Amino acid sequence: MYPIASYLWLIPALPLAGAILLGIISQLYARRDFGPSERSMGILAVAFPALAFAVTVFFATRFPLGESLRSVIAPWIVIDQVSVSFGFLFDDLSRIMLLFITGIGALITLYSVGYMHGDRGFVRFMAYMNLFLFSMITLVLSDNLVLTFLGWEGVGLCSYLLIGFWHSDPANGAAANKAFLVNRAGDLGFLLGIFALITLAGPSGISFPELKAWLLDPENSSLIQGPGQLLILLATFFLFWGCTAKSAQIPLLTWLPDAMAGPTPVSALIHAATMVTSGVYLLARLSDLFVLSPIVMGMIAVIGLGTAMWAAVAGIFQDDIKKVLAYSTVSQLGFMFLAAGCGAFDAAIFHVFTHAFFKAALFLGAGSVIHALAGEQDLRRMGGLVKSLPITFIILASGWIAIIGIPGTAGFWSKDLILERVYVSGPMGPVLYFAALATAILTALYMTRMMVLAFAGSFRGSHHTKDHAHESPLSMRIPMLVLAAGSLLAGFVWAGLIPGLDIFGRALAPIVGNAQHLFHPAEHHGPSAWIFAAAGTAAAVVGAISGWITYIRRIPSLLGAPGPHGLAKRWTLAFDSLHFVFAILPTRVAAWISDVLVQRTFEGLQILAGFFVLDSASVIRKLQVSSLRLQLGLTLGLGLLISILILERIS
Amino acid sequence: MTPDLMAVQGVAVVLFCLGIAVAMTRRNIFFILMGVELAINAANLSFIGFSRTLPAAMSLTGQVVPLFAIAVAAAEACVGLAMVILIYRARESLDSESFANLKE
Amino acid sequence: MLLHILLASPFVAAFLLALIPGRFLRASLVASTGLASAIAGFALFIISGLNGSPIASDSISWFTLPGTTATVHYSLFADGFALWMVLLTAILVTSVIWIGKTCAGERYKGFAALVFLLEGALFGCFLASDAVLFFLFFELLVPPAALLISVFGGAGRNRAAILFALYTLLGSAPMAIALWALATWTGTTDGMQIATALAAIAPEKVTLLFFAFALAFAVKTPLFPFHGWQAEAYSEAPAPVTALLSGAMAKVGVFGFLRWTMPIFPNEVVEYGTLFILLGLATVIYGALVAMRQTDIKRILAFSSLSHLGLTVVGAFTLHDGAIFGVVVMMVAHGFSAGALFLLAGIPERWNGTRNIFAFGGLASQSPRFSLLFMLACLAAVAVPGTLGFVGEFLILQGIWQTFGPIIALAAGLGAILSAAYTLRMVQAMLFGKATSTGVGPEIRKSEMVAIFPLIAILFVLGFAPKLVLHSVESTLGQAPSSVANAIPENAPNATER
Repeated sequence: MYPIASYLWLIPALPLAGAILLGIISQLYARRDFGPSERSMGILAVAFPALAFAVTVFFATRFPLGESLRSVIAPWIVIDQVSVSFGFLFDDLSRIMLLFITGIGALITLYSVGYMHGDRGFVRFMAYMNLFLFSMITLVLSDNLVLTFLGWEGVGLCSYLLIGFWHSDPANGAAANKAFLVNRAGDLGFLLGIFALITLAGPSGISFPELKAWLLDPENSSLIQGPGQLLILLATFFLFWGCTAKSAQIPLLTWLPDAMAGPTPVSALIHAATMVTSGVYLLARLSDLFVLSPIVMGMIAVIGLGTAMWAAVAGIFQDDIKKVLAYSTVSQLGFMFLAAGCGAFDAAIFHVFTHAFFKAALFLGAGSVIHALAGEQDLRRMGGLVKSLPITFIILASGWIAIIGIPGTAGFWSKDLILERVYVSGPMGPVLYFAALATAILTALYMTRMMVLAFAGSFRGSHHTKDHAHESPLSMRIPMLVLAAGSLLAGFVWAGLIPGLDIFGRALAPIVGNAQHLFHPAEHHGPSAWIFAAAGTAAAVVGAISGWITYIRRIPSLLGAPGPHGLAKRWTLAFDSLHFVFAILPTRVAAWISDVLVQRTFEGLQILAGFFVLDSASVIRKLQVSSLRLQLGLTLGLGLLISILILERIS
Repeated sequence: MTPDLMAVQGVAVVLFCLGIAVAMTRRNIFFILMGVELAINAANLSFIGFSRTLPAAMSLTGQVVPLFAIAVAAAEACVGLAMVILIYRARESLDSESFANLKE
Repeated sequence: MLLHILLASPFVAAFLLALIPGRFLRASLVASTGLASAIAGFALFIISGLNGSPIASDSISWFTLPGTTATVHYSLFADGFALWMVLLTAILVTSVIWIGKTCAGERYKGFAALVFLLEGALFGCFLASDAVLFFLFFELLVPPAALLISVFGGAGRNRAAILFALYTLLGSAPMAIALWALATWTGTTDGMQIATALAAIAPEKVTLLFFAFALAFAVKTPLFPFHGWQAEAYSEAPAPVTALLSGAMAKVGVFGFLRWTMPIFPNEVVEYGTLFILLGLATVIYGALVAMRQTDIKRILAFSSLSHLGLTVVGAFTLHDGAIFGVVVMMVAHGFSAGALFLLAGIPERWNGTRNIFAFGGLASQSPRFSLLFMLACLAAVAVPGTLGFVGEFLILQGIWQTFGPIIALAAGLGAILSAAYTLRMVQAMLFGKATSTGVGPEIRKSEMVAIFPLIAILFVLGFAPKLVLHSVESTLGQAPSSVANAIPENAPNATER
């Protein structure tokens, strides 16, 4: 429609160009002792995401809400049965996602310039970050499921590369492997979902606008209600399965806590703000499809809630500051899925948006603490840092009050909206609501625990780290401050209690409104919004005060490795054990059977056959006459015999 | 004087057996070749014997075939002896047992 | 005419190479590379000129099988599918010839000549239109390959060569008998006419013929119970030879299924298809599981190859149009990726003299260029979207879904998860982890990079533009009378509407 739409490809192309360029530079310097100048590489590395952000802003501001741009560049896989093209769809949902992906991406790349200072693999890191941004942008900007899948696996790949970035330590490699494999297990589900959709809606059924049109077409409603039900169930189930892996929900969440092995900017960008939210994005994008399957919607809600609660409890047990934040991410993702499962897709996306700000702020702040303490990540060895790291404290505090939901902060608006929507979502609504509220209390509890252990009290670490403690350089401080400001202010784009401030909600209405209306045809009337706000605030305050009281006086024992022990450890590793019993162990057994029993049997049989042949050969060899005279004699004798026989025949 | 058919054939058979016996029992390659020659000539004798004692129409065959056989035997002797020379160069031995290349 | 030149060119190249005296290594290297590139360029030229209609050459009567009324013709036929196989072979041979000098050393001329002979036999397999002619080239694959293994291979090379030769020849012996029976009963051996001619023969006889044909290809691919020769042959052969065996020769097996089994025996394919689907699935899972336990890099790649080609067999027997496209695409993709991986695998073998993946370590920091290429090749093998392998697997899995439903598709898709598992294990052991020594280590030579990089680049380029493959295949797949699409009877239970 708009000719300028044909330039949409610039947005993903810029980070891709950056990745390739930085990759080549990294290879050129790979065998030398030192890499190129960090300053120039840093500028280059941040320039590409920043430009992508600028282009996104340009597109976002040029076109009013409600307009969508579509640009199909070239066909990809086009045969009779499947028709997939390289196409981009810039509508309100992708606009929102792109804005914060490119914006936060650029900020975090800037942060990593400071964080990765001195690392020999600096340029390689920047190349991977740009590659990641390319994949993530492709994921949200694509106009069809297969191109989204390209971005989906691409972010999985970049996650693997970045988690295992310091590859000389095998533990990092193991964590990276785990992330890739668990994600791959989910990717299979994604693919199966795609196949189900192709079978349901035809060769172009995997392209979002066409799918939406197909689902809403009254001609297809009889198909959808009748024989199509099974396919819709399969499609939604498998696609949701894919989402559980990418967004670390039960049961495929085991990779995310391990992913903290990567550098902190990676955790901030990939495992907090962007990659893990892809699942929620997919749910919102395909909302028209998901609402047609109430069973799967219920499953999403229950799993989301279960994940949120489980991870909140696990967060209380962690001693590593990054692990606390990791489980916090899993828990918040659970909230988003809960919202989506209750039909509140826009609330889920809103929480994605605000969560990106405050979680990134929290992670970057944690990175700043780690950087200041020369690599110390153990909360037991921190304490009293509010005096030595005031700015970092402000950052973390902003993220803290946002995540627990103090009124006015971004987290407050989004979490409250979710809780409100959950309550009115149906007969089970209040049950889900109170469980979610309890989780909110737990959230406040463990987050306050983290803040108390890190900043309050007196310092419990070694003298060496205490002397080392210093604030981060400017390249790290600026992004953190921007994100902290975002955690406080970003929520006002949809401040539910204040009339008129709902631009976010209005923007998403064309995308998900239809689906949501289908799911909740009647407006349920619940208590007033102010009551919810009060309840949420109360939960936050209760949790925070409990956390303060419980942990302010407690001096954690410094013995042993950090982390949960005993029963807490079993809770934390519950799903790892589940995976081991149901997936890893059977595979190993099957592999053992295949290798030792079957393959070796084959090889043994072959060797046996070989021996048999050789033995019989040596026997048969004895029959061979080597003596010249004996050959002569035998020949004559046989000739005589034959002549006699022939003569007898003749006569 | 009319030779007795059986006597001629008998001599031919005896010579033939002697020739084969020589070819099969001697190890020296020359003696093997001699034995083969003897056997061939015994066959020639047999033909000539039949040519004398069978009716006139066949008698010509009995004389022509030995002529051919003598020529062939001569050629075969040439070729055989040439091969013996070459083999001797390679093996330095005239013992036919040592000519076997096939493994036991 | 073009086809005759194409088929003859590798044999001519081998002959020309034989004329060069053995001393002039450099000359033979240059000459052979030039010849190989010329052949590849010629194949590319033919394929780009193929606009919609397959090429059939004139047929020349050759001989009559005694005791039958069938005359064997020397006739060639090329559609997009066959030509892509030819092009794949030609490009792989060019890389192999170039890299071969590192593994053949002084005896390079013999190596190159044998590779050209193998290439010629491969071309013949893909281009032959007469069944006996096809069988001739099929058998002709064995001597050059076996010689290459036993002359240039590793420690266990003789056993490997004998195993390979015996398995293949025993597997194709029934096919020889079947061909004779076919000629006797139907009076023709021309590929285009056999299918219709068999309709008049008793079904029990046709079933026997079907299994004889299928056995030969099941050994060549290989398919699960008949894979015994593969691990040893692939690991003992020199890396470039394995690249060619895995990249091109294994494709003859799948090609045989698609071109010489399905169109000829459509009823049997429908009736016994389930058996082959199960065997194929077993191959996929079995290959992946065994690969996870191996420590020899070439054995890992060999079982990986087994697993991937098992998926192509499953896709072929779904008789689904989209899946058949996927099979063709995956054959091309696997050819290049297996070729690149095996060529790359030979390089650490050359550095350290061992193939044990745990003997390396930290190659990413010591040999960064090698590691980058290896990583890219592994990504292509794992079928990350953006590579051609993904397109193939996507289409095949989609065909499986539409024909057999979600459960079988899930089972087949498990192979994708497992392939990631064993590939990452290999990458982790070799590239990452503690470096065996500090500082920079041995690096891939420029010549090797020149040979390997194009294979990987093709995978990524075609991954984004698979229509280059799909177009030439699609336009001609439906036109050959001996093609799958036209042969399946309408009342087959697997025929799909979509």
